[in-house]
Amino acid sequence: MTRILIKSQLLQFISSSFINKKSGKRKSQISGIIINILTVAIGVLVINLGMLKISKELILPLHEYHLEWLYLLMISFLAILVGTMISIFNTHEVVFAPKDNDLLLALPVPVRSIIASRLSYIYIIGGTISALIMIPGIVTYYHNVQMSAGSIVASVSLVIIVSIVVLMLSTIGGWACVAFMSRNSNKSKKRANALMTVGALAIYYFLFVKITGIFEEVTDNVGKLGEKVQSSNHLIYLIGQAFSGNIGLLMIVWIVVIACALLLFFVFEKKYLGYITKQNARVVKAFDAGQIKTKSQANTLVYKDIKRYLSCATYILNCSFGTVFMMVLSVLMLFKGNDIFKLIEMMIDSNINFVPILNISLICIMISLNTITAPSISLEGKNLWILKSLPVREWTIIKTKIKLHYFITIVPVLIFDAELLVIARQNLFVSAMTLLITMLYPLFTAGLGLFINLMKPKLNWTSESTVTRLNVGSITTMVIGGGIPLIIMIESIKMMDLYRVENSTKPLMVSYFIIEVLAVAGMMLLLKTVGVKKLRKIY
Amino acid sequence: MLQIINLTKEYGDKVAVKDLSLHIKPGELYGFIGHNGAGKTTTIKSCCGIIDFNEGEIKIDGISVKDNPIECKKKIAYIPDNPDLYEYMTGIQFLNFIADIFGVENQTRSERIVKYADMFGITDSLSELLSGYSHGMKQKLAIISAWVHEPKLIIMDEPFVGLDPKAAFTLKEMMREHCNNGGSIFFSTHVLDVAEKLCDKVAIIIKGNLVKCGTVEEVKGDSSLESVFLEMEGSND
Repeated sequence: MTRILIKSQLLQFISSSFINKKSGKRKSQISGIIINILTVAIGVLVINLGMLKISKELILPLHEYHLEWLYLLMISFLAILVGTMISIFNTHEVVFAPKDNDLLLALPVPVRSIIASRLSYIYIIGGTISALIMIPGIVTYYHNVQMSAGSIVASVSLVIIVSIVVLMLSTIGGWACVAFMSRNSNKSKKRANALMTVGALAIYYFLFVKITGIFEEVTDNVGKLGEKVQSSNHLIYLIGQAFSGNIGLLMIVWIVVIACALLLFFVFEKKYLGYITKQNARVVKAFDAGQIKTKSQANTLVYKDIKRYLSCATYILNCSFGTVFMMVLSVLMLFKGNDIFKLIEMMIDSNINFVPILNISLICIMISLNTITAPSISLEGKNLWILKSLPVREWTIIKTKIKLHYFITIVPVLIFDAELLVIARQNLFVSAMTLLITMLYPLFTAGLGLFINLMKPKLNWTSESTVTRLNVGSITTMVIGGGIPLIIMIESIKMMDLYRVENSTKPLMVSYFIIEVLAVAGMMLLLKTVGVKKLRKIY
Repeated sequence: MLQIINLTKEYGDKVAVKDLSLHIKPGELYGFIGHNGAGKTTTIKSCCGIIDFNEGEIKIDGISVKDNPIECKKKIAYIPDNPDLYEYMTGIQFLNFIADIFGVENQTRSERIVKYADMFGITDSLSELLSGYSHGMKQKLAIISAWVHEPKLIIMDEPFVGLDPKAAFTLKEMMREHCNNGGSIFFSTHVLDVAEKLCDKVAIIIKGNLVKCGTVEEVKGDSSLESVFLEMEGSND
C-alpha cells in the first residue's frame, strides 16, 4: 500500500513533464526529457557554482589548521539550512493541505502509508537541494584531503544523514505552522501566513547577508576556535570526527539520527489525523450586510488575485525573491550605501561613468527574480471555469495578473530609486532615466512569466506548491529577465571602455530606455495576440 | 433564448457531440438527459463559452457565442457539476466578486444575497472561508451567485447533486419562478423523476447524438421518462 501511494505521489511530481493532461497519453519522450534536463541543469549549475566558490574559500584556512571536520560541519549546516528553508513550505502544502487528503482518508489506507507517501515527496525535494550543496562541498573536500575507505563511507553517510535531518526539520516546521493554524479562525490563518513569510524573510536575510559574515569570522579565527572546540571534546567535535571517517562515532551518529527520525515519525503518526481533520472544522462568524461592498470589474479582479497571493505562503516566498532582495538591500543601502559608492567612485575612471548603467542593470536583475505571474494561470487550477464563464475579456484577465505583479515589484523599486537619488547623488537626468527604466522593466518580466505560463499551464494540481515552486517557467523567466539587463550592462561597459567617449552615459541610458520600451511593447503585443488566443483555448 | 445549431465537438479522434441542435425559448425550463459521458457537460460548456467547438453555431438571445462571447456571457449564469470555488475567499467575498463582474448595484445585490442566503440557510456561513464549506454549501453558494445578477438564461450541470432535500426543493421553486418571470433554464440531470415533473421540455442525448427532444409529454408518451430513456439506451448499446 505504502509503495503504491509513494509511486502515485511521485507520479504527480513528474506527470506534468511526461503526460499530456488533455489526452492522458504520454508526451513525446524527447520533449519531456529536454524539459527535465533543462530544469535540472540550470538548478544544478547555479547551486553548484555558488557552492564550489563558498567551499573553496572555506576549505583552505580550515585545512591549514587540520580542521577539515569543521569544514564538513559547516557545509552540512548550510545544506540543512537551505534544504529545510525550501522544503518547509512544501511540507505545509503537501503533507497537511493537499486536495486529495479527504479521498485518501476515505480509502482503507493506514495513516502511516499516507504520511510515508507525503514525506517521500518532501524527502526528495529537501534531499535534492541538500545534496546539490553537499556534493560540490565534498568534491572540494577530497581535492584537499586524502581519500580512504572510511572517509568515503563517512561522506556518503553525511549526505544521507543531512537529507534525513532536512526531512525531520521540515516536518517539524510544517507541523508547527499547522499547529498554529489549527486554532481555526481566518485571522489565525492570516497570522500564520504572515509569520511564515516573516520567518522566511529572516532566513533569507540570514542566508544572504549574515552567513557570509559568520563564515568569514570562523575562517579568520579558525585557529582559536578549533583549539577551543577540540580541547573541550565538544559534541560538535565528536560529530565532526564521525564524518571525517571515525567509523565508531559514525555508527553512534547513525543510531541517534535513526532513533530521532523514528520517534518523530511515531509521534507524527499519532497526531497527523487530528490535525488534517481539525483543519476543516468551521467557526461560525456573524455575517452583516456591511460586508456587501461594490467594486468595479477591474478592481474586483485585482482584489481576487491579491487574495489569492496573500493566501498562499509558498506563492509569496517562491515568487517574490526580487521584492525580498530589494527590501533587504535597500536596508543595507541606508547604512552602507555611502561607503559602497565612495569605493566605486575611487575605482572608476571619471571619464567613463558606468555606475548609472550598473545601478539600473542590477535593479532590473533583482526585478527579474520576481516571478509572480509565472504560475498565475496554473494557480487558477480547477477554478478556471469561473473566469471562463464570466463576461470578462481574456486581455482583462492578463492585465490583472500583470497589475498584481507590478504592484508587488514596484514598491521596493521606488524605494531603491529614491535611495540612489540621495546616496549616489545622481543628477536629474540620470535619476529620471533610472526611474523610467526601472519602473518599466517589471512590465516586461511580468509579461514574460505570464506568457510562458500561458504556453504551458498546469491546472490539475493537488497542492499549490506544485505550481508555485521553482520550475521551468519561473527559472526561464528569471534567466531571460535577468540575462537581458546583464548583457546590456556588459556591452555598455565594454563600449564605454572601448571608445572612451566623454559623457557617453546619456546616450547609453537613452538607448537602454528605447530597447526596454521596444521589449515591453513587443511583450504586450505578444500577450494581446498569441496570449489571448491561448487563454481562450485553455481549459 | 438559446439556439444550438448543428453543434459538433471533437476531442482528438473522439466525437463528444455530433450535429446537435436544440432551441430553448424564453420562459422554458429545459432538461438535458443522458448517461455519463454522453456529451451533456461538453454541450453545456460549449454554450457557456468555456470550451471551443469544432462545427455548428450557438446563439444566446440571437448573439453568437463564437463571435461575441462577452455579450453572451453577460446574459447567462453557469453552475458546474462540481462547484470548485475560490477557497481563499469567504462566501460573501465570492458573491461580491460575481456581483461586481456583472455590475449589480449595492442595494440590489444586498437584497438578493440576503434573500437567497436565507432561503438556503447559509447566511451565518457567509463570512467564512470557502475552504471550510461542504460540497452542498458550495453548491448553494454557486446557485446564489447565479441568481444574484438575475441572468436571462441559467445553464446548470447536475444542479441537484449534493443538495439536501430542502435545498433541492428550494432550487426547484427558484427555477420555476425564474422561468415564470420570462427567464430560461437549461440543465442536465440524471434524476429523471425531477426532469419529468419539473421541465417543460427535455432532450435525450446518447453517445453524443441527440435522440429525442420536445415537451415532456411528447418524449415520454404514455410511458414514463425513465422507461423511454432506458429503452433508448438499450437500443443504442
